[in-house]
Amino acid sequence: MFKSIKKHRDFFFLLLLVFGGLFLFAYRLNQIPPGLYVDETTCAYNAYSILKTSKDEYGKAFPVWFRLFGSYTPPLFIYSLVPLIALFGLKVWVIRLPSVLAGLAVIGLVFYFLKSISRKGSFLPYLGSLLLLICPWLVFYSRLGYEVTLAMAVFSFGVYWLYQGLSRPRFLLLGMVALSLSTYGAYTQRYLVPLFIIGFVVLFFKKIFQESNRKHFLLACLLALLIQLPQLVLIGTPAFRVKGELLYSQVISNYSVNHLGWLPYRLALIPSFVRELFSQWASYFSPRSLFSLPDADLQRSVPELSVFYDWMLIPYLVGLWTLWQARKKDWAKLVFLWLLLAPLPAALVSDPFSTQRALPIFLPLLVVISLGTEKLLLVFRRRYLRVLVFVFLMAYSLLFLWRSYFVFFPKERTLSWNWGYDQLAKIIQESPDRHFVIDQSRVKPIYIQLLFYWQYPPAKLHQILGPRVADDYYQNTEFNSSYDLANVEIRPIIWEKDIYRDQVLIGDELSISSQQAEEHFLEMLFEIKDPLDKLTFRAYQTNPDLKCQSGPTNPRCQF
Amino acid sequence: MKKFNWQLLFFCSLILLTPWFWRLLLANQTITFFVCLVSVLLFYFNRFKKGQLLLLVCFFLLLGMQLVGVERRDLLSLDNDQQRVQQMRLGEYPPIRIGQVWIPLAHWLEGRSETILFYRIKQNVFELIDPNLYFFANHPRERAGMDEFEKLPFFFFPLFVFGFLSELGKKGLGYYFLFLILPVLLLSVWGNIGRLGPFCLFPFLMISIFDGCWFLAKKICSRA
Repeated sequence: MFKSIKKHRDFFFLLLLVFGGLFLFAYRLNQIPPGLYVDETTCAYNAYSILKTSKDEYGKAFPVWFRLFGSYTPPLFIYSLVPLIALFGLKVWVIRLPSVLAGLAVIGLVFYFLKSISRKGSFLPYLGSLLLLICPWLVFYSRLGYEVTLAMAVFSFGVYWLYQGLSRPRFLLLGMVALSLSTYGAYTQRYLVPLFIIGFVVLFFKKIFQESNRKHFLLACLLALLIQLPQLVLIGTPAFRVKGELLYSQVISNYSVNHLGWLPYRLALIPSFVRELFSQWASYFSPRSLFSLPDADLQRSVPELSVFYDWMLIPYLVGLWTLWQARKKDWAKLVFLWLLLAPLPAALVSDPFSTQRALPIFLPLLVVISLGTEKLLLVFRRRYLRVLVFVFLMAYSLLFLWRSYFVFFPKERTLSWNWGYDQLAKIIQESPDRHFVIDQSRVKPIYIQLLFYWQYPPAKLHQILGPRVADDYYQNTEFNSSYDLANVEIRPIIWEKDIYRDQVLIGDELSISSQQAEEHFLEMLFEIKDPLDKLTFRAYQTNPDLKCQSGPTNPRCQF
Repeated sequence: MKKFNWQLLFFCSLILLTPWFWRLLLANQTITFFVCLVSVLLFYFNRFKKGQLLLLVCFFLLLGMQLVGVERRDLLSLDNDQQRVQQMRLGEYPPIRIGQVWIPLAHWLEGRSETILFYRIKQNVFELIDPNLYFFANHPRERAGMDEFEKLPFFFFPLFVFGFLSELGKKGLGYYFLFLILPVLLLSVWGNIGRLGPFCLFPFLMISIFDGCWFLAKKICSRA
């Protein structure tokens, strides 16, 4: 039996990784992350709408990009949800399942990639895939229900297959198809893939255009272009340019004025832009960002844990040096290219160190860290010492992963993850005779959360919305989050009118103060609080009779 | 020797191009003198492997000036908000038991002085080794309440990376890392906030930048 295990070592190891991955990525998937983030519900509801009516929430049949909140999100993830929802229903774990599977696939990919670059008998593939399995960045993104992880996985497979295609021409086809498909995965890939392909061709020009590969590569390019046709048709529409406001034009302008005032303004913009781009790009390699600080966006991070573990700093530096030493080898050139280009789309945006937008850089960084860890472990001549040190590092890492992700995260990030909306939806659904007004001035769009939890019939929603948006789908990019659904109005509270109507006003801590409640005779109905007793929603019943008694001359009291 | 003179001249011109040098000069000429002296001595040692005694003496004097010039930070005390978070987190842990033995993991990870010390030193180390601190005034992840200033021109950053990587492969790296690791460790424990920044790292940074220039120059010349 042991001989059989040794012979099929890789298979059993991958099986172990799958079980380990399933545990880390799927344990309590319904509860962690806490709540269901608005990006998850919008993807899920649109997938549900496609399943039921072949149209998205706005009534557009099989859109190339999903309008959602005016973001025109690439569709791959949403379409991948459709069969899953058909099979298992509209549930939280179902929405997050594609990311779980993508995370597992990526672990297998890294195993085979490291195997292809290491010498026979090396423990690098085993070490690298185990490190990847427990990486905070991967654990976090494999447990959420929107597009980024799937896009990263498809992109990574494309890169790997393209690299394999240098020696096995048929993989060039697979690689280019996967890369082209990944542009339907997430925004980052839309800009990254063309850059990467150009860089790849420049770097491996001779090999790609040698006789055995040339035909396959040209055919692959043709296929990739065909796949891009639906997007190319829409490239001139406003829907293509919606993310333009994220570019840091104000920052560049300020820097030009404050630090380069001695240059003409227009001339100063160029070095200011270069500096800003460089600083954003460099932050994706900064040890402080990678090993110490979490993502600045509370929704995209866990408390007290960065994207990699702190001890990985030393392997990171050693790995960079190892990669540098091997820079003439094809695999090292590929990793360098991947490393240098992957953060570029994210570096064009003002968000400081966006783990979401820079997700494609995750794998090459992990490769670097694995190379460094292997180099450092080889300092120990005795195998048992290497195993002991590695086991200690894994245990240390898993302890802090547990602390941050499974202990702090579910309690401290509830507001960032829209916790409590299911309870709100249930309360509203159980009171069909009451009228509700929900103030969402400081939160993400609430309407989609209600639609999701109610499993609101998409056909009914299409009737309410009418054809206004669907007819002008890619031109009309303006999004209005105010909705009028059944017995709910989602809009800011209009104090001159709303207190004179018999209804329930719902908002967060700042929507209605205690003085306002007292002044307008509002009666607190219910509160929704998170596990740490922080308020998510507070609801007040209006009392128009009492209000009118206090001010009977108000014209609204005549009715 | 003639080649060395030209290299030294180039190295000095690199120093003059840095905003950090001018900020130091305007603020404290003694520190500026020692910073430049140590940089030149390190440069000389890097080339000829001579003069280490003088270099070490000057460097330790510079370290002393650095420690005097930074704000002494208490690594163990918690302000009101930090205490609130600590209490909150002590309550977040589930009870952990192995058989009949309760494991006070919450206290070990949140309450013990050693762990607080470990987290603080770690935070300081990472702040000090962040290249963005030196080349981009910590942009885009500026620290709240700090006076961040650009120490080295941003276009020196790739030169620094090339220089750092090319130096790593060479033998006799002990002195090279002495000028990186020792200051980082000392400042992480003592305190890393000062008006003039961690200037004791200036020599290390300038040597790396020069090595990067040298590396690129050799590459270009070999291709030409």
